[in-house]
Amino acid sequence: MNDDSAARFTRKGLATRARITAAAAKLMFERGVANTSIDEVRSTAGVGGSQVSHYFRDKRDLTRQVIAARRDDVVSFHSQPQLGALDSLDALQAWADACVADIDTVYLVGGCIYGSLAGELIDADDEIRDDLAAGYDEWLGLFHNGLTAMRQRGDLRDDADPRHLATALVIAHQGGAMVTHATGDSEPLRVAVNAAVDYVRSFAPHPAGRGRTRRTPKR
Amino acid sequence: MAHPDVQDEQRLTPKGRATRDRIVQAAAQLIVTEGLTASNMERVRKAASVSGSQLAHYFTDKSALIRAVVRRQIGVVLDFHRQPRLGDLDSFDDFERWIDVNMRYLRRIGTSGRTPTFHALTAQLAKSDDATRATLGAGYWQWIELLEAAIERMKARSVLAADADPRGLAMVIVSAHQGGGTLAFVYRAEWPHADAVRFAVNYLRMFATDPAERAPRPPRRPRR
Repeated sequence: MNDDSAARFTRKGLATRARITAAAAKLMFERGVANTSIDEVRSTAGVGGSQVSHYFRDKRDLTRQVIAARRDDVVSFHSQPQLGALDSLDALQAWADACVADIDTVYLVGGCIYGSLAGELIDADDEIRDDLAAGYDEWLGLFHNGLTAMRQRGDLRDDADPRHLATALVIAHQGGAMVTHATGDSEPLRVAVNAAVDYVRSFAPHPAGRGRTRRTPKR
Repeated sequence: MAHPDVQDEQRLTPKGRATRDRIVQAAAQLIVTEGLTASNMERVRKAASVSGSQLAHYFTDKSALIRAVVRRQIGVVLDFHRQPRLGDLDSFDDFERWIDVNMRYLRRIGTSGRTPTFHALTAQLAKSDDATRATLGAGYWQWIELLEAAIERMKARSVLAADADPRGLAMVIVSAHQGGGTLAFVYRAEWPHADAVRFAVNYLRMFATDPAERAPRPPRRPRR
């Protein structure tokens, strides 16, 4: 996100601003954007009211900073060493496993940190939706790069479409997170991300049999 | 087994039901546009052209109204899956038509984000309170069970292999659908949903017993 406003703050000012953004991100994750007031953000961040208005024009401005912060969170999640460059079936399986490992602490609490924000703001103005789409572009791009490398190396067949497969991975995650959060059941997300990885695997030149790692016990 | 809200619903005369539906529709619209707050209950009343006492007669409080909105919308989703065009939704041809009708539906409602689809309601309401979230969750289970039963029939006819897990497959289809809808609204474009429903049906195809059915179909390319 282009953020010219950051330039006018000192280093200390930027730290305070980041603390306020983090407090807002936490509250919005737990209770939603609509149910988060500037007052609550102020007291959670432990800053005075004038400081919030010093750093953020209004709640909309603060929300845009939260979107940017959550976008960074998504990128750093996908940059964990064990996920490599998301450019092998093992790395993609490690991604699915990493998502599943966070189900209790993240997804059952508030859904996806990015997707739940995006979902709540889908009726927002174009500028906010452009911010959100740019975050998805970046996320899709991470998978797209990895999948393209896999195809170039011959790990995926020529009929594998990196753009389609990248979209399948992100969408399975987003929908699975949504259904898991609403139902309070870990299965939908677990099954959805594993299905997306198995889908990618089905485009390997010699698929090692359907659903090598599929784990879908009955509820 | 009926929830008290549902019993209330069933007691109504046809006219009462129509009035109640008007209120629910007005509330659904407000939830996805500006959120349903105590202060805009008045707008629901006006949009539905009912009096305050009528509103209170049908819905004891705002949460009861919100739960009614969620139940109505899952009804729309279930009816969508039961439309005659989809047959019994238990063959690959039926699921290919499911893709078509999904894309046609999206084209009709548009991607403005101002239609109270189920994923839009979930995104607005899942963090509000436990009772509302439970109603959303119950809606997802109904949807999953409908698909599970259809996939179970495909398995019984050996269209799908013995290791196909109908419930897991149903969860994948519903998840893909909801993720696709969310990204379509964010991008204000159809391609995310096109990829989502294609992924869902191609994933189902991975379990086909017939090798010709098992081959993935290429995604269609709407403008990006």
